[in-house]
Amino acid sequence: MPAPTANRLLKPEILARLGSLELVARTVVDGVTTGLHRSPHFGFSQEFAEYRAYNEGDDLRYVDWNVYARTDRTYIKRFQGETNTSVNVLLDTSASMGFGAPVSKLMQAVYLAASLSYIARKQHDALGLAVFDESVREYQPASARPDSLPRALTLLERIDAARGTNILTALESLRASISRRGLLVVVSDLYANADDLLSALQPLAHSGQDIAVFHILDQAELTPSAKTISAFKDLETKESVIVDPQYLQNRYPEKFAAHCESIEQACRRVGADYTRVLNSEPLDASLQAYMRFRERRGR
Amino acid sequence: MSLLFPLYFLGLLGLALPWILHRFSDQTPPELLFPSKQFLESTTPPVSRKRTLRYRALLALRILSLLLLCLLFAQPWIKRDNLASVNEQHHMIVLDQSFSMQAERRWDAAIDQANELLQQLGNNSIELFGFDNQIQILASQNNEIQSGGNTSLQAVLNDLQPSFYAADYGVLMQRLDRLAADHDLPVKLWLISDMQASALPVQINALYAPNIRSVEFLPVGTDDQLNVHLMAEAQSTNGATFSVSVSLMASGGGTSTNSITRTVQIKAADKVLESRTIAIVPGELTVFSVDDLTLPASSRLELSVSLLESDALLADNEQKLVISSGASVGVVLLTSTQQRSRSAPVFMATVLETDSAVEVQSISGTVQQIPDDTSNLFVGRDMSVDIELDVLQYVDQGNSALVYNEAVVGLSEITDTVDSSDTLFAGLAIGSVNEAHPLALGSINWTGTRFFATADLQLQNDDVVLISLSSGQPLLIERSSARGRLLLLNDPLDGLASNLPLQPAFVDLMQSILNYFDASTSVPDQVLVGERLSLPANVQLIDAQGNALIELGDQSQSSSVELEVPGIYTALNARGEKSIRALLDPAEADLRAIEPDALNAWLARYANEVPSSVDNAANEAVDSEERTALNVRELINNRDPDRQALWRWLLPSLLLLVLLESWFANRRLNVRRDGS
Repeated sequence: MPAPTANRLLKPEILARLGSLELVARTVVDGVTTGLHRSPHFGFSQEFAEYRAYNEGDDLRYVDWNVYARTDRTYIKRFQGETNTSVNVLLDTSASMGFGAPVSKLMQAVYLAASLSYIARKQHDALGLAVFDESVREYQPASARPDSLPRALTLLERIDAARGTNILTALESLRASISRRGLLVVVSDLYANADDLLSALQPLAHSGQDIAVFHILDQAELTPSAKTISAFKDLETKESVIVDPQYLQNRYPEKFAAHCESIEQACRRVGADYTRVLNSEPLDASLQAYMRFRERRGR
Repeated sequence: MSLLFPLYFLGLLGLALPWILHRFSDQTPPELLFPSKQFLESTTPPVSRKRTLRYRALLALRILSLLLLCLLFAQPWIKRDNLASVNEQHHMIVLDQSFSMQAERRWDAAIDQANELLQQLGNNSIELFGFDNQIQILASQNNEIQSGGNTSLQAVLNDLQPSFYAADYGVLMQRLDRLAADHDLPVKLWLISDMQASALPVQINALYAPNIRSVEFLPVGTDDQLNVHLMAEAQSTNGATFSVSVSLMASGGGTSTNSITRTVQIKAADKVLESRTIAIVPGELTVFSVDDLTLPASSRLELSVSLLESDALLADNEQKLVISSGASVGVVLLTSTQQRSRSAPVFMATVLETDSAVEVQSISGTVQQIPDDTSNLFVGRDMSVDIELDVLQYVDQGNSALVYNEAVVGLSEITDTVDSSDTLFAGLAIGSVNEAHPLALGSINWTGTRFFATADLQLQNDDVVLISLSSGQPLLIERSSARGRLLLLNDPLDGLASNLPLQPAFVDLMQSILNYFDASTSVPDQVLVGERLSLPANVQLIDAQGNALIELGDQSQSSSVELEVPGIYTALNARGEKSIRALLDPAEADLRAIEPDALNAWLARYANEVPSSVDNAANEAVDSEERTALNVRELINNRDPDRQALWRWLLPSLLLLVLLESWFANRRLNVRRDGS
């Protein structure tokens, strides 16, 4: 139940008054239950996980010879690894992320990225950070070194929302850089076609990446309002569209909801976790949901 | 509703301006930032109902304001109720009292017309005027007086009599115009006159009085009345016989040009000296003279020249004459053997003898040698020292003297001593002139008169400087004397020290001085009745009946008097007497009426349409402009009895609309500021 914990945490506009991102991340994460997540892939830990029938090509070192002796069948013995993993955070800094109130979507995304980074470093995971808009602007490869968190926070503090967005190109270029299986966190407002997003996420999922998508939204995006006919200026293309208030009231919410639904469906199809984050809500609800998802995937 | 200036409706083109502005206003929606236009659809901007109402109301206010503004400039008016407007007029009834109204039946007809008009107008606002050479208000009646009628006005009418003065319709209309301007109500003029052609002004535009709304003529004359005007002069050249010159001018009598005969009789002391029958053509001047008439043995040389036949105007059929003696004014030019310049007496004699009435005697010797019957002395003296006693004594005996300064060194004698080339060649001009002195020096043209050498004079306390040079030095001084007149001229009159003796101004100066010295020439021989007669100080004026019009005690300064009745007047002073004839104006005796075309042109200035008979196109243009100006003035002042201006209602409406527009516009601005 996210509601009890949500009340304990601070709203985004209060977080904005805190001095540093580290303090923000610590404040957020300390409010969330701090259970260690399990490693997403199986390794050499002592805790037995399951048996699986031997297939040709499996490493013979993992054959349980005792079972073979008793049953004359060959089984592979698998263990649940208590090992470190790599967490790569992909943050969208396109101009559209500069929209919103009381804090912009970008600020909410930065708080979220900082909190996830803090959690990762708290678990001694390797931490990587990529900042993209039309392409990947900055990329810090995943590293388990102690300074990976400060470096990530420093990068997060100096970003701004200025350019257009092309999440497909960004994911494409990151696919080659992220070779080690781990957790890939995408934080974006996802103004992309759902099918394109699906085709971009699928290779990453197939390469063993565990994907979590945080869809950052502002309430004014969901239900925009205007009393008179107004010219809406696109933050990224700078083009204006004259829109009737009647359209904003009736048809736009339907179209935007359909878009969000299609994005969520695409995420589910590749096994990615989809979480919608409003910039007017405290972050703990989103983090709680994420943690539960991780636990589910861990089992 | 009609418009005075419909062209101002071109201003309605300005209505396009707010319409365009409001269009622009509607096409510029407010701009909002948005993350992406991906899910937005462009739409043709319809105007929301709330905004449409608000902006259209503002637009309507602005258009209505402009419409009212154009209407105000176009001066709309509506027709008044005529019955109500008749009473809202001020009536000026003007009665012609000029000499021509003495013609038979004219005056009685004028009085009857006036009485009938007064009865017709009843209790309206009325002013009754009489006019001849000037206008005077006789009586007035306010329309608030409801009882008693206008009997007081009729009583005033019955006491009126025509005068001997001449009339001028131009003067009449201009003065009535000024009087009409003081009235709030529109003014209607009723002119009861014989509509004499000779009373028309030279400038026809003087007949137009913009403050008078309408004019109605009530003519009382008839063209068939014939009048012969007689003018005569008598002169004696030898003191024993005299000649009489007679001028006759016939006028009126309809369109006939046949000659008529009249008998002219010349009488002296009831004795007929001559009687002649003369044929006269109407409209032409007939002049004849009777010579070698023997002077009667009478102390007073008065004659009577008269027409025996009667005509329309009896007063101009006889003239009293005074035989001009032709006696000249004696002037002595005193010269001496010590005199420096011999040119001065020559210059002065030449100038004085141009007037046939002046007899100049040149005497070489002393003052004691001047004949007793000559009281005017022109003499040269050295003014660097005191004037000799003999001249002063001569003046103190009641005589007059002009002393010119022989001490001034002429140009030929100072060429070697004077360095200033400016003074030498340019000379000094006349600086200032005492125009208040009876010498009338201000009327003399001093242009070109230059003084190349002057001398300083020692002025006495009572000296009056009459002329001074541009350097401030006195040129002509009057020195007071017990009985006579003494003038000092600071110039040698030699033609060298100045060019004064060679200038036309010298003739006028000498004539003025002579007139000043001789009382008999200071007043004219004859004046027209109604003209002002200027008299010098200490002159008594006596009319034909022996009544003193001006007593000696009345007049210490020069003055003027208006002679009301034709005849012979006598001006008396210490030096003797002079007869002055007061004559009737010959033009006023011309009984011809104004031509119908001219009369229509006069009336057309007060009508709505200019008749085609008005042949002067320039006048038509002026008339049209003036009529338009009159229309505007009458409408604005609400004095037009037929039309009522609407600006009194339009102007407050416009102000209200402007206030509403401002309120609406400000309210709209506030909404934008709030962002709501």
